[in-house]
Amino acid sequence: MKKGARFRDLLPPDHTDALGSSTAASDKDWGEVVLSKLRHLQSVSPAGSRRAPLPPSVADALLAWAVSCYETGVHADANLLLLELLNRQSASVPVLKVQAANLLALGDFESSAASCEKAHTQATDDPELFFLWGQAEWFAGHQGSAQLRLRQAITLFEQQGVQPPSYFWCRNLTSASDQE
Amino acid sequence: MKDNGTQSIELLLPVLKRPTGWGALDADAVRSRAAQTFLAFEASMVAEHLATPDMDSHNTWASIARSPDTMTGAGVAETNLAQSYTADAKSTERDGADLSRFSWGYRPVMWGVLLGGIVLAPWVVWAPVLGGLSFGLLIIQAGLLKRWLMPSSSTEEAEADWTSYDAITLTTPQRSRHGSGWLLVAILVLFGVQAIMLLTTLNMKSRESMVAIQNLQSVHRERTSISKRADFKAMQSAQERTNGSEPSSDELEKDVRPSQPQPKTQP
Repeated sequence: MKKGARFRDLLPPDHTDALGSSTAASDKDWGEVVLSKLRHLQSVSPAGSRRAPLPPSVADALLAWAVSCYETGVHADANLLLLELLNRQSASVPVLKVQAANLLALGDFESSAASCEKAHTQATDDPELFFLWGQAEWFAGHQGSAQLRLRQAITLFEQQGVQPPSYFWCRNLTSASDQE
Repeated sequence: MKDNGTQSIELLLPVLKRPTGWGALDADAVRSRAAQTFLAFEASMVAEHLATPDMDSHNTWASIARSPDTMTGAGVAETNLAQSYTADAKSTERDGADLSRFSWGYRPVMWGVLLGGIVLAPWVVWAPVLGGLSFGLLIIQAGLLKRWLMPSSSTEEAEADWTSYDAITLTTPQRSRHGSGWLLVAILVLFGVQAIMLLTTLNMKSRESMVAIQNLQSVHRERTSISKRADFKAMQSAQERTNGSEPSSDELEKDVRPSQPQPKTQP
């Protein structure tokens, strides 16, 4: 292991490391090492047993990695990382939102709705969260609850003056359900 | 697209934001850096828990230590990471003691293996090699190799020999036709090698002894010349004292040359 991997690695990277030459060039696939370790830990430790909490910098690193996995379509790895994050620290809204989106991508709509519900206890005016929640409820087969969440999302989007790309989807869905 | 009864609805996944500072990195860089960050943190936690074992989380860290990656290069890398991390974190005394204890466990074993290997090398390496060669020579000499390679013919030969030899002959070991030849060649090769080694050793020793003898001779020559010069000077001074004249400087200079001694004056 090179000597450069020191305490500074616990800090978030700045923009000078955009090319990632200092760490990405290493031969060892450290990502696979960590993922196999997490799989091992989650297989041996019972669900719900809490491990040592992570410092914020390490939690940010894992969250960034999970988002990167979500972006690249590796949803299983993202789920593993998010489970480790939620097992190590109290559930925060960003982590729960990422988990909800990732579970939505994995097709686990019930769990995605549960994550949104947990996040809703901390953030009541997040339109993206309501939008996710509405989708999860819709695909889980709970159309009534889905319409309610999507209407809340549209209202919050309009209040905040934000027009997301999914706005028309929400509008069409709610209007279609209204016509029914 | 998903058909949900009345209409076809497409699942829209949101675009998520990364934490501050991580947005500019590509996926591979994020993966590598985040993994190293996590490993560094875990290594520091392992070091701390080795120092102060906590019963609540002892099982978790024991499972980390038992995990397959800890046993391979990744575990070693994490140990190195732990060393650098804790050294930079300035928690010097306690962590330093822990890490030294962590790494000192393997040093006596390594030294023991090394020294044991050196001590046991003649028995472990050379004795089996020479023993195997000797055993091979014996097998060749006794004709067993030929018997193993050609069991049917050797059996027939043995049966034939059994009928043709008397009891006294059968008690002596049977030799194959080429067994004594191989043995002779092997012995000759061994003698040849031994002779070359002996000659080389003697040659080197004779050179060394010649040099030593030459050195001794030169020292002896110098000593004799010095003693001769001293005797000559003493005799000359005694003679001058008897004659009552001082020796000239030319004579003194000539006296120091032992190769051309001056003829002694008659008293």
